[in-house]
Amino acid sequence: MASARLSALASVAIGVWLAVALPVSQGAGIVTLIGLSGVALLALGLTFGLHGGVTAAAVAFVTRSAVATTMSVEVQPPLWAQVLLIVLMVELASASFALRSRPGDPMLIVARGLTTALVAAVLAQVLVLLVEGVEARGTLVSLAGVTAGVLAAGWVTRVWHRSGLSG
Amino acid sequence: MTGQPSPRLRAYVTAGVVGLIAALAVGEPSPALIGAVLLTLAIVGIVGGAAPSSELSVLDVPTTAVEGRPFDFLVWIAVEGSIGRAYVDLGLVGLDLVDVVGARKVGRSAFSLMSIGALAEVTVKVEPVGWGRASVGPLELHAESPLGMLDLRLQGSTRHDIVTLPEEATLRKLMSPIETNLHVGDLISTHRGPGSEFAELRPFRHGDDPRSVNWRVSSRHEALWVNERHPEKNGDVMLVVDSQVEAGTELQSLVDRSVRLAASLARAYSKRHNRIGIVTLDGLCRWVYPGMGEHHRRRVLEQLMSVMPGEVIWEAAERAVVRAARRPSMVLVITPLMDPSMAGLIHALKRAGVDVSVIALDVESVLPLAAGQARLLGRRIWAMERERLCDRLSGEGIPIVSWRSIDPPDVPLAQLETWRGRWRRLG
Repeated sequence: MASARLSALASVAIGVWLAVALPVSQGAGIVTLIGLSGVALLALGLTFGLHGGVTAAAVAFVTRSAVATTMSVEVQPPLWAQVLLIVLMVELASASFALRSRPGDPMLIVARGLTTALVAAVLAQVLVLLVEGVEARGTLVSLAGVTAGVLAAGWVTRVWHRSGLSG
Repeated sequence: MTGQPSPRLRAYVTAGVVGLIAALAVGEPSPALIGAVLLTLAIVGIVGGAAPSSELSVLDVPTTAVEGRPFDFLVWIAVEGSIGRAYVDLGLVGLDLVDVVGARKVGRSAFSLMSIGALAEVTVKVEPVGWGRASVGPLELHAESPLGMLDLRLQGSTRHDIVTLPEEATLRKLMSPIETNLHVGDLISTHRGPGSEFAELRPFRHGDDPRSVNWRVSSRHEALWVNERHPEKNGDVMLVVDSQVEAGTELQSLVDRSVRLAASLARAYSKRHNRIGIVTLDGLCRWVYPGMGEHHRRRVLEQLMSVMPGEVIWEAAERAVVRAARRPSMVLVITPLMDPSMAGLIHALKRAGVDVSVIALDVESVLPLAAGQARLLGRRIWAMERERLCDRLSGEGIPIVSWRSIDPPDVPLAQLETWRGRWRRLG
């Protein structure tokens, strides 16, 4: 139980750090607010055992990143670090839930979470390098983006159903 | 085995889709990149984490255990294919996990396996804690898909109930029932019949076994005389366990003592081929008629192990005891004698001609010190009333002894036997 609490605390600490990473003085108060709302939801979820808190926090941080890109300020931390911290936050929060509901080795779970976060950060940096300098705007690009999104969602749903996880 | 999406899978999928949509909304690629990474993790996790068909079972769990004596059982896991690190929750109730062979012990009721390929066998050693009812299972196996996107879970279907018996004291001397029944046993009956114990001599009658002729006496009397013998029979012993004490107080230890003594008596009398019966008086009044054999002994012990402190309904209790404890049974009442109704019940047995003896548990040694004059006075009045009950019972010829907590169980039994012997000589 102690390891579950520690894991939850570490997850919330990472969330707070990520939320306040963009200084308010740079005119990014709304960005900080979105981040802190996500942290608040995460803390609530972890306190009351609601899995939705993790999802809400992850969504809040992705939204925060999207809003931050529209502002004329330097985005902090860099994208790969954002991905690393978001994944680490989600992994630690999930570890906390797992350790509360069933037996488990905390060190192994945390080690796997760290590895996943590092892999995700490397993947994000590779993608950044790939799309650097590419400007994707216009109706056609939007249409292609929507189509890709729908296809990806459809594929995930199909895999989900075929694996018998939908119940 | 079933797979449930873990919180991280829901978070990655939802945040990933939100990232893609947000990228379209703001016209910047950064959110889409974050979303793409998260969706990639989710997809990789789902693809690599199918739930294999598997089976989980427990073998060699005993039905009876003795408090403080560890025992082993086997956990058998069969998987079609393989799974990674798995945790098995044993669902132990009333048992402590001591050791695991073939896996790693995790916490107080679980073990973990690095991986399971096709078949895994684990030997688990557990130790019963206290007497009563214990159980193993239903077992639960928890595993995760490679990236932890799915929580794989398998639940065993059976729960194995175990009756944990108290560590039984060895009783050196037991009271013998005065009356015997018709079954063959170790007790010397007062009746005449085929046996080994000499009773008396009498003149030969037609039909007597020639082997019973006492030739030495016959030659002296110039007529045939035969030896008469006492047959060896067994007796019925009915244990009455009174557990009317307040639950959650120090008095609860009295129930523990009563149960331990009753279990020891049941074992000792069974060994001497007597028939054992039991009446337990708690919230429910239940009884088992006298009987023999291992199956019957188990029934008696199972009932004894389910005794809980509770308030006795005395009308029902009296009916039950009088019905179950009939002649020729020897009734042994183990009671804290907290209620005058118990004394009334013992009277009723005595009136019915039943051979009844009482072991009254020493209550005062377990009570907390009385604080204040009023409490002290109340305690003294209560002690006097209890003493008066004991005096009344002994005045009617009912053997009654007080069993102090420092004395071994042999002491009250020896005192009762001395008392009964004295009464028999006087009678």
